[in-house]
Amino acid sequence: MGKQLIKGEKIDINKINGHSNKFVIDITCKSDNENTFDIDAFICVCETNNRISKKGIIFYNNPESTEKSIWFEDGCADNIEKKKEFDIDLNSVPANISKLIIGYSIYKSKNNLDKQMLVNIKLRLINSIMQEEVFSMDIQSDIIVNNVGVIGEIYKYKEFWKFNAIEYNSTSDLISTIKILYNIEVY
Amino acid sequence: MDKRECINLIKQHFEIQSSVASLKNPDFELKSHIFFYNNLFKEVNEIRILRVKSKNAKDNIMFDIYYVSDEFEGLFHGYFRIKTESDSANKIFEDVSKMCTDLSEYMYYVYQNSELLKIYLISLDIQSSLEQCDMQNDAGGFEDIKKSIYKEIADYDQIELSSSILDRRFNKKNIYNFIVFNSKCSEIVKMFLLNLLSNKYSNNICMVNWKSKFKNYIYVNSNSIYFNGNKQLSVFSLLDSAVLGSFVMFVKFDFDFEGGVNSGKTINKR
Repeated sequence: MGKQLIKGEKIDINKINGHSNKFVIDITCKSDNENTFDIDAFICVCETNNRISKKGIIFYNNPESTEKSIWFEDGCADNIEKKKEFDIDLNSVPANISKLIIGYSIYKSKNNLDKQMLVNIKLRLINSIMQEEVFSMDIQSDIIVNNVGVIGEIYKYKEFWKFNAIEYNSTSDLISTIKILYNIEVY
Repeated sequence: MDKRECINLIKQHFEIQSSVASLKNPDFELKSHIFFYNNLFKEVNEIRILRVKSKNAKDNIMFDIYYVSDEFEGLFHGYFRIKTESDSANKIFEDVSKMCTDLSEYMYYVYQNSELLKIYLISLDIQSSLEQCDMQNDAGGFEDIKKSIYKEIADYDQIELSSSILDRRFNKKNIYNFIVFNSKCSEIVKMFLLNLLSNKYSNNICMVNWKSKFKNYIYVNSNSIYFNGNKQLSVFSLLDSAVLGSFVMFVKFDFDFEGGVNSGKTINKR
């Protein structure tokens, strides 16, 4: 078990990840309600001038960043647990990239939706070499109300990569939410 | 010819009859959501609502329009299915979608994409129109496409395949995301998505991600759909040939992320 992060907490990835910039971001989502929803995980690669290229949005339909520093993999998805993974090598991230925004969107199938449906979303950072959890973050979201969420960001600070736990839920769409939070342009 | 002129011309040469008692004086302006929100139609899965016939009985162009009670947020609330009832109607509708939500848009789309209908509306003689119209038989071409797809699948190893193919269980979700994240879809793209969602093609389509190396696939963005860059080939005929020939068509979606609140606000690349 790694360190448990709370909203607003910042952590130096290199320091806590055994001086390595290679890791896996694992996002799992559990719910007791079967077959009613799915989540999709996204990493938006943000440039230093606060711009995100459309091809820099990594998700199931675009599973690999241009310079191959981020690789998405759809893990098991059964009725109870949905799992999404990003393999990340920060050493290969181009110099003009300032942050990686980690978010998710919720797809709700129309059947069997209750008035409130809380799901537990867990983000874990796993050391690629040791296969050990370095830190984790737990989020609870009412998916009847919310459509998307921003979990956290990996950002560069004086040549070091840090993680910032954000935990922001929104009823809007993913790109609009990121635009509101970061004042970014998508091109 | 614009849509209004086209519909007026079709009205002159085709008669439209209601097949349900509650629908009096039907016309080509019907939209499927009218039925969706009508309690009378809520409990039926599918019902024939209209029969359309050429006014000249000798030409025997006849097709039925069914209302299908189904919904998909952002795409349709109920839709129409067109079922041809004569050989000449079969020929007219050969290369076009047979599902739609807006009849006037649909008839205009058929007019634009069926050479036979265009000629018929001028000549008003189906035999003469068939003789004049060069009805292409794409069967050989579709067989070649099937072989190319089979050969391509055989060329890739298991890891390459599994990293390219999207889980079929989530086809609905993938289409929903495409609609939500993207700018507003054109009518032809909407019709194509409607076809993808129907049970008819569910075993014959396979969505692949943007990074897949497949060369034979149907490309879909918000405005257009085409197979291997060939905008002349009808993707609807191709889907039908995939069902008839029992092969799989790969479908690749291009996300532009201009949907939602972002809709219509294109930010130019500096």
